[in-house]
Amino acid sequence: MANAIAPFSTNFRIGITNFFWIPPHDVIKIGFVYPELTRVENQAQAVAETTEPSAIPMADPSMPTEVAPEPSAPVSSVNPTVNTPTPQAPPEVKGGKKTQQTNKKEPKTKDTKEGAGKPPKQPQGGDAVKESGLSAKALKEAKKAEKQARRAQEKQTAPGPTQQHAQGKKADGAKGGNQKEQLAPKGGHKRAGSTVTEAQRTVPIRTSNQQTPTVIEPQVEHKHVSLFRHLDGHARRTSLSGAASSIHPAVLTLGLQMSSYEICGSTARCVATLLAFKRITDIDIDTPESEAKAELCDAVDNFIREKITLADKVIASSAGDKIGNGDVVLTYAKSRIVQQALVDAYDRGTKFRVIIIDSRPLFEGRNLARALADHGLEVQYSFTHALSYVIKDVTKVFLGAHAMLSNGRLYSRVGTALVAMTAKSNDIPVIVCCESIKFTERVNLDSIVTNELASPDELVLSSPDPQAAITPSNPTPPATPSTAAPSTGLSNWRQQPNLNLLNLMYDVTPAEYIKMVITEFGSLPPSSVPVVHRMSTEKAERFI
Amino acid sequence: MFFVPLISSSTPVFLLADRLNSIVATYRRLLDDDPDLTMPVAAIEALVELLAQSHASTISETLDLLATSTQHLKSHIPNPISLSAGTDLFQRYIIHQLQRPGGGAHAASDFQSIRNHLLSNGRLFVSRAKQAREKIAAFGKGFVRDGTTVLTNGGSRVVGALLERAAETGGGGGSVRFRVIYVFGGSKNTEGDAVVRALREKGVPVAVIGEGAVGYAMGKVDMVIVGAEGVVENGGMISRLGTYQIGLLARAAGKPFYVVAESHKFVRLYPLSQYDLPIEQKVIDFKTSADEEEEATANAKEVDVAFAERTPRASERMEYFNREGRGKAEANGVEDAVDFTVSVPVTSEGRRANGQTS
Repeated sequence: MANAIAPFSTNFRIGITNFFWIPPHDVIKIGFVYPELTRVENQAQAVAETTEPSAIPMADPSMPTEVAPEPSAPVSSVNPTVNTPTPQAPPEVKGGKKTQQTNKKEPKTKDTKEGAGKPPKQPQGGDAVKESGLSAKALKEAKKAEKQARRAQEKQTAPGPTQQHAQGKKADGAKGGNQKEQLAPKGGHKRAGSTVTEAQRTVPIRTSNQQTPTVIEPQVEHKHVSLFRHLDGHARRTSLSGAASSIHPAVLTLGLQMSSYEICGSTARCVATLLAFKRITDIDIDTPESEAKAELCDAVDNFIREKITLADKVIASSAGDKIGNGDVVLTYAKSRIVQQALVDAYDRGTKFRVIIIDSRPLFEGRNLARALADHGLEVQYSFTHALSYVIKDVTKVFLGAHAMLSNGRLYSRVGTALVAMTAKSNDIPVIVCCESIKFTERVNLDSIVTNELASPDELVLSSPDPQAAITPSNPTPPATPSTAAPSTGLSNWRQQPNLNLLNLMYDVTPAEYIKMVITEFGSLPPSSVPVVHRMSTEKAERFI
Repeated sequence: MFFVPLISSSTPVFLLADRLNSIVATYRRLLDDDPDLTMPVAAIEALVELLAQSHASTISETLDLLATSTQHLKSHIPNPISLSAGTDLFQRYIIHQLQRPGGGAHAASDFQSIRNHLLSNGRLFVSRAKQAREKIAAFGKGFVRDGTTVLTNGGSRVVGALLERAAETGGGGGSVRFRVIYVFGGSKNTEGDAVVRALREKGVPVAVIGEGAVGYAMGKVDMVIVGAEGVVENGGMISRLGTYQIGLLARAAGKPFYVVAESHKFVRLYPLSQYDLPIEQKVIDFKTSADEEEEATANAKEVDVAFAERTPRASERMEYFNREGRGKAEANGVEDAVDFTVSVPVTSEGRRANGQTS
């Protein structure tokens, strides 16, 4: 998360904090906060509607978001963590209640004349709003926020948002006014923040979690892989109570969305963060600095348009140029820009085939596979274990980036290095598509020093899910989910004394595996990354 | 637009078509007249000549004319990679000149002076580009030390100039003693003959080997120096077919491989592999014996029937149907083919030499 916004956030944050006091670290760290909270909501939805994975609607290819259809969150994450006594999380606090309060306090901040400098009202006081009954006032406020967000989005020239917004509305309608769903803070925010609409429908189904409250002893609370212990510094908090009161709800919402992988992928995170900041500036435009705020909003819009939307178009078209007739293109996980490039090449009539390699637990490639297949491309979908076999057919490998490091290395979704290495050893060119805002002056030699740890529980197969349960080894779905739960090998891993799970998010691909980096400034060898980074940051400084 | 050659010659349409055809002729004439001229410089000179003759009175007209004629020139030359380096450079230069503050892009009355400025600067550029070879030779001769054996190929004039300069070092007598192994490839070797003759005249011992003997000779070689048609963005270079394999053999033997090229040969291209070049090459041509027979009978028929007594094929008499088709570039055969020599980023030996010599 910190890496996602690192390339621009330093400059940008200075501008923002002049107007509103945002603790700089919280802006960055918000992604690590409260993963468990959203899971409570997700569960609620999962109970309400059991969506099959095959029925998951595709994300619009043009929109700057990558929705993880199945975050495959932990089987036993909710109850244990709520029960676990952590300093920030009094066990009695219920997640749903908190989030609703988040939603409710937003209008209040809007009304304050001094802007966001004044901390929003602390929710712990006595907001006795029940989880089930959302007040009409709160609903109205959510609508208002939504409208505002829509207006903000129409300013962008991207074609995606409007379409996608319509989709979102439809989805809301289909839910038949389920109060619980509208309670979720993303109901109002997501359109503004990330244009994630279908995320609510695509959350994982973990019905058994509620039915089988696992009993977990508090002494097995901390399990670390010792080599990666330093990455665990930002403990995932389990409720909103520890949050600094000065953090704007829009930022909190963003954190929740990121932690639940509703906003997934670096560009999506970047855009969502910028839009969240914009929402903060939206508040109280009549303050003396109103002009400055308007300017800041314009700057945000311009930044997104120039550095992301337009850059993507340029990159997609020049990457599409590189795809010729008869090519077999391999890509790993999901990158929006690679998707655009493939669609671009297909639309201009190039005949080629796509192989998508995917991995657990995020399954980002599923989205890409469906989107491309829907568009008419010929798609083959496999997991990393099939890589060494399918690589024989491949003529080009296209990869997205989380960041390009200054030593020419690529920092991207974990597993990318494996794909790049396999391609290199088969003499297949590896092409990275990357906007120049993702270039960073940082130098990493390995994936250990800087990385992001996701919850190890995500690695545990959620076998009670009827879809996942039908495997070759277990061909019949279990009669009841509760009886199936103990049968999975890893579900009780916290009780196993010698067992650790490691769920890394990123890895570093050596520069020698990369043949070419396509940016909006043209195609470069990876060794030219620092030069372009210097060029583009000089421009950005002038820009901001 | 070019379909109707019968329109009276005073119409601008015909003038443009005529001029477009003349630029190809000018380009070829320049290359024939001056054996020292490189392709990018010839292209730039042809464009300068075109601008001098044109009656374009606005900037956009000028740029448009430039773009059209560049496109025309590129499509009529079999291997436009080297040439495009020159035309791109000239186009960038002109746009840069026009955008300069004080360039007076708005004042129509001022256009004449801008045009004159452009023309004179263009000629200045051409004369400077011609001097580049001598500069490179002066830089590069220091690489050739006493007692070394240099392997080279092709008819690169920069390499020739460098080796001659190295032979002359120390004043006439040639105190630097080195030997040259010259690799002959293919059948078209008039240029190679000239290089070999010139070096032998200067007292440099030259051995001539075939391409098959490169690996055999590599053990006796101290360094490889080659010329380039174009230097591409990823640090690789495009050169006469056979250069790539010399580079691979040199790397396998751990011998330094130097490329000498003028900076106007830098091309905006990023080839991923040999087959990613923007030209068509008939190097690998699969055939069965049936194909060969068919071809032979087709050739025989052509000889039998006199040209006047048969209906000309569309490809032969293109001017009847489409003036654009006349002199259209054919795909490169083996003789004119090029290959792409990859730079190895780890050692970056070649790239460093590149930076120094150009």
